[in-house]
Amino acid sequence: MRAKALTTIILSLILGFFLDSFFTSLINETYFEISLTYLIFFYWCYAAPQQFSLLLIIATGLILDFVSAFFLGTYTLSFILFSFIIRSYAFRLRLFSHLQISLIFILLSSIGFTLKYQFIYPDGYFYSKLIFNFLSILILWPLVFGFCRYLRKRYAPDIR
Amino acid sequence: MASNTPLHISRLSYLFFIIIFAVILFLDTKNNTFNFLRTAQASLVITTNLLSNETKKFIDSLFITQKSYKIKAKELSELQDNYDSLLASNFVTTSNASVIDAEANSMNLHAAKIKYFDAYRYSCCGVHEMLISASGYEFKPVVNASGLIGQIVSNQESFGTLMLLSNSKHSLPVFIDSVYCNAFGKGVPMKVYCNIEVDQMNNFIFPGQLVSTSGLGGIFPRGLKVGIVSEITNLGEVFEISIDLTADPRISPNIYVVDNK
Repeated sequence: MRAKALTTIILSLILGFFLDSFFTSLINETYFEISLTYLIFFYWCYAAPQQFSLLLIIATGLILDFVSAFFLGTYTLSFILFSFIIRSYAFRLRLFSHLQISLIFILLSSIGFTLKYQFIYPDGYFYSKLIFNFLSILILWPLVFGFCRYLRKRYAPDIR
Repeated sequence: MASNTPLHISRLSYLFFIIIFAVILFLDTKNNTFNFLRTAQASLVITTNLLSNETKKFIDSLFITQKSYKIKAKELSELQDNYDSLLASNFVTTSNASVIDAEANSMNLHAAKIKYFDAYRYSCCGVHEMLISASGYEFKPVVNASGLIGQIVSNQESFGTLMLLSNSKHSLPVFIDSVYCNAFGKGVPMKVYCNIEVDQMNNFIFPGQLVSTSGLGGIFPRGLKVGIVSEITNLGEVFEISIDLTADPRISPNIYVVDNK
């Protein structure tokens, strides 16, 4: 994979993290959360299962852990788990509609959400967050898909 | 690639890394093992914020300094204009107050600016003229903050030509004590001269004596201070009185046309 494509993937994930933080702080940090970072990550696993290798996934996870100042492994561990699932079924997922894919991602994201809050930050776990996360993924998936697809075509055309 | 083609994934390596990062996460959550990373991130964020804030403040201060400098320069210029105007007004009203109070009160001062002045020709060649931003005041006297400097002799479109008292073509009727004479310029900066016949000479004409306008000719109001006698030279039939002018036309770009209606 070329450096440009690698940079595009990492920067898009970091951008997703900052947008997460921005939108969450705009609404209400305590009770609402969206998972743009996970959605962007899902997209790259789904669209470039061969190029988005395990080492790259670990690297992006570590970078996000550092940027977000979370416990080391919060993003990395969930990224490894999700990438294993998505990469295993990447080509089959392409047969599904966007609604079906977004439902699968909602399920995965909810697992990541639960991992993060139930085991690492239990004080921040609220059902409102989970429901808002659920709805936001359903709405945001087509947008993220379109945006990342544009990035892929524009900056990383060698990724297929 | 066919949709059902399996993608080669090393399950062992996945399992290995999952265990590794699960252990790392456990250690970090329990013992804060990798707290130094969060500290580094926090210090990086704080440093970046500090640097960006300081840079922003610096740029803002540059902008504000530039802006306040312009405002202050404008205020200073306005202050200078007002001060010059007050001095000129004071000169006109006080220097001839004892002579014609009523006339002095009826005089108006019209502010103007010097637009062109050839300092080199002023020093060397006896051409003592200026272009000023006032027209329509032909033959009116002109003063500045230091006193009487000349009269307008012609108009050129929106400008007026100001002939200074020291111009070699200028002539000004003055009184030295009670003796009348015609003070003319010789092209010497800040100097005019008067010729007085021997029989008119008296003891009241001496170096340091005040010279003022006589009012004859109808252009200059009577009693305006012109200068002081600096030297008296006997030329045989006449005495040449050398007069140092009070007003320096170069001190300020602000000048005032005296409109004595």
